[in-house]
Amino acid sequence: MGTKFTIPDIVMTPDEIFTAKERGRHMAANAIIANPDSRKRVESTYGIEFCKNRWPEAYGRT
Amino acid sequence: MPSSWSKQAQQLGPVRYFNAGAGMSVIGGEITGVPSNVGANQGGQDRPGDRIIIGEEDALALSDTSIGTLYGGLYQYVTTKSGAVAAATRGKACFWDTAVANKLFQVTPDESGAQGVAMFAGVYINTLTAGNSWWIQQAGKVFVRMKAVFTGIPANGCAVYLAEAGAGEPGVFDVLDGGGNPSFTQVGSMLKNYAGVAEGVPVAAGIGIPINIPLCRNFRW
Repeated sequence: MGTKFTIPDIVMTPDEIFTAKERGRHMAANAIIANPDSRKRVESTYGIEFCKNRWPEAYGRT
Repeated sequence: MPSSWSKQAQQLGPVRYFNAGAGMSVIGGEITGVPSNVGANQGGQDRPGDRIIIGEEDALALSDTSIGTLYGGLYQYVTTKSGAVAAATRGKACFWDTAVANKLFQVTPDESGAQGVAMFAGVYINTLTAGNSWWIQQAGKVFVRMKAVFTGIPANGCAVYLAEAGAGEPGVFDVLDGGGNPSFTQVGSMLKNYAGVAEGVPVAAGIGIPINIPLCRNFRW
């Protein structure tokens, strides 16, 4: 998909189907993967167990 | 209607946050390092008109907090008018550009001479470059820019309206409570311009207090 791959690209496959909210959740996972600050913020706010369950792609569990 | 409900996630690009950057100059994401005049993009599936719902936890993850905090809500991918007079500034309202086809989902920061603020589209979550495409927030909690001098008296939980202040102060929000007795015409304007409920005491000329925009203010699907 496209000519320039990034880490967030790799965790997606073109034929994945997302609902509007799942798409938002997936975008957040992309942000957590790309941004250490974002990861720290959600982990300190919600706890790491919640984060692992909410965004498993960002914690090595797809 | 765009197939908004079954697409890949927005590629965040080099800015890596949802409310950072100035939007995309090419719908679907511009690419670099290819010959000029090649009509190419990154292959992103975002098209004007796409809508997305972001939960509270996701919004926190997607926020560049050095710019501002995003909240859960309904967002739509739009193109902001390239020839607009006003700047597409974070926290300001934008309006549907009725001079172009609806399918383009083009918004403008200018208040139309004929329609004023009637065609409210949403709130800019970034300061966008004119002509670029990115997401605006249409429902949920969002920080907005307030008018320099309120018509009424601000209070926590008060109604917040589109100011309809015209070219001098386009796209800002106002408080009317305590501003006197309205005429029927003014009641009509209040119904048309109602934007949401303040969460906190609004501060004139500021962007420090969020409002909660109800879902019913969506005109383009």
